[in-house]
Amino acid sequence: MIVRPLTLALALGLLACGSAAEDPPDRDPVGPTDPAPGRRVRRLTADQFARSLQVATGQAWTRYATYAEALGKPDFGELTDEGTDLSVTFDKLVHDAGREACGRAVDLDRTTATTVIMREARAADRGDHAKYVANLQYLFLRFLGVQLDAVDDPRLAPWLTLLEAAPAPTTDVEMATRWKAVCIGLVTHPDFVTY
Amino acid sequence: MTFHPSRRFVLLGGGLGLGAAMLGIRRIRDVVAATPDESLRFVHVYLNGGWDVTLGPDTRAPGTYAGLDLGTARLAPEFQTPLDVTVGSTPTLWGAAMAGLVPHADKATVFRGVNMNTVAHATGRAYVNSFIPPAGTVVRGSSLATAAAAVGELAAERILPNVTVGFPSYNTAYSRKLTAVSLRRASEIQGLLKPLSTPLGADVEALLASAQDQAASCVSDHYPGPRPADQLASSRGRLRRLMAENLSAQFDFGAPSADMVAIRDRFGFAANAVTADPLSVGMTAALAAQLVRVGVSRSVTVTMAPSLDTHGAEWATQHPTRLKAALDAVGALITDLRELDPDLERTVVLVSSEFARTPKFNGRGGRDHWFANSLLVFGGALRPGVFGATGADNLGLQKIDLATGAPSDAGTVLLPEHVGATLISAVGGDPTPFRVSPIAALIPGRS
Repeated sequence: MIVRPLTLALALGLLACGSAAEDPPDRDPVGPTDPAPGRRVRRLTADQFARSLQVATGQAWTRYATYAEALGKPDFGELTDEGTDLSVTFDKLVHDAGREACGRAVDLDRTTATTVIMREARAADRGDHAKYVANLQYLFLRFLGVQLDAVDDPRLAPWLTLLEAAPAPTTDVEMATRWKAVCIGLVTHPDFVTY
Repeated sequence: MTFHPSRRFVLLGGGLGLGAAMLGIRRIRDVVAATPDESLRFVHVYLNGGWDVTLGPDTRAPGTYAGLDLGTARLAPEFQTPLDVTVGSTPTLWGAAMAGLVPHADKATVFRGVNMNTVAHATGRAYVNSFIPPAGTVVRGSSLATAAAAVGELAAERILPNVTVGFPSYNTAYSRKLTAVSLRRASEIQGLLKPLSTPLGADVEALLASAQDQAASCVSDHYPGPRPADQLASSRGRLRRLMAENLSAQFDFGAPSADMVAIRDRFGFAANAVTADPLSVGMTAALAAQLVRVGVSRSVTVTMAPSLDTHGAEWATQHPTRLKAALDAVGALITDLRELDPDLERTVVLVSSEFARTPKFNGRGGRDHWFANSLLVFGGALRPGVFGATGADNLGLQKIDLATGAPSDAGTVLLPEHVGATLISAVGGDPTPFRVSPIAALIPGRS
């Protein structure tokens, strides 16, 4: 009976962010099974998403009340189950929410001394790779709870491409738009909307 | 299978851009209607609250019955006289609330005396979700609409193959792409289809999409359950196609365009229903019709609200009017679908409620919950007719001969799983999960 705890421990270890991929854990000989409920990756509920978005961006989604039920919030009249599907509807509304909150957060960053999104790299820091990396490391920690110490961590690559791809931003507005896109990308990231 | 943009989508995409200025949506709708579509279209309409079958599919001629009080005198005059209808070759009576369905009686199969085995709303709702006996209030198996969505090859145009409005949906056995897109009410479709807010510009949008596709999740490939990144990638692919197709104008039910005016007229709802009456049965039916007509969905489930759960004297006023409004909307839905498929050869419309209402009145002048339910199916998949029966004098459950549908002491009490197995088998699906044999007598070519 010692095999099962060891298997679970190994599975838990593999779940942890940043862990290196190792040999797959032993599986039940009849085939893979769903993880135990307590160890299952879950989607944020509607309320959790709205609160997380506000904490991460500093901005509330003004349309949340309109779309809370579409995001899965039960009305406790007809539906009592919390909807947590990673559905097309959810992804669409998360995109809308992220675009609104990120747009406002970045616009505010450009006009105030206290910044939320562009903390380590301002809109004027165009072409400064080191600042891009520093700000992305900060945003990964802020949005996803992931500490990236290495400046060449492969998880930064897609976002650096987004920031640096040609045609390179030539104005503060264009640079801010790139940071809005990064912010939206992190809000819609699977690790932001699940836990 | 390689996806080639169809004539439909080319015309939709280009047409919508020009439509407002030149042709209007009507022309596009005509083009869509002319597009051949060979795949199954399945619509499940759930009437919320428990319908009174004596006002609908299982009525009696006004008179005196020992165990049944029709309450005819309590009803408004327009609901007192049942309708003489021939379903298949069977002359029968339908309640006056079913007037909107009479034009489609030629394609109707009426199941009577279906034993719901419950008088609890949640349990009955779970039962008519999968048509498999629930575990308490918990649905077992996949929703019937999901099973229907899985029948045959799924065309690439079906970006939203399975949509449900106000009704939970389950998928325990089929491809993840068949898991229903869930809306709480019909008006929410615009939130799903309207273009993404705050466009970033085409070049940055493309860069964002690329970054999203490459972004790694911290959930290992060895995680034994469905990986969120994979689920999200599947949803995101469909979302991008939805945005690219620019379908929102097809579902803008409050718009002043000629086509939307025609839809509102057909389904009987006002232009401001999107905001003023988001539970409008007409708008809900219109959404189901449009999803199927435009071709993005194969299977649609809608809840018709408000509730039919009338336990008091309001039974005499609210129940028949609400039931008629809902069934009129279903009639309009079938009329709409028959424009594409006149004989409903590839179309099935199922109408259900979680149970029926008692044959006698309670002390408050209303009716409570009753086991012996009816279910309606419209479409060429089943032989038209009346199958099953309730006690003529008391609306009681009766055993029937499954070969004929007629009462038989040696027979079987009809259950929802008989209906589910028969329906899914008739359209080419697998009836195994229902654990009963399909009723061969109802399936053309099998008896």
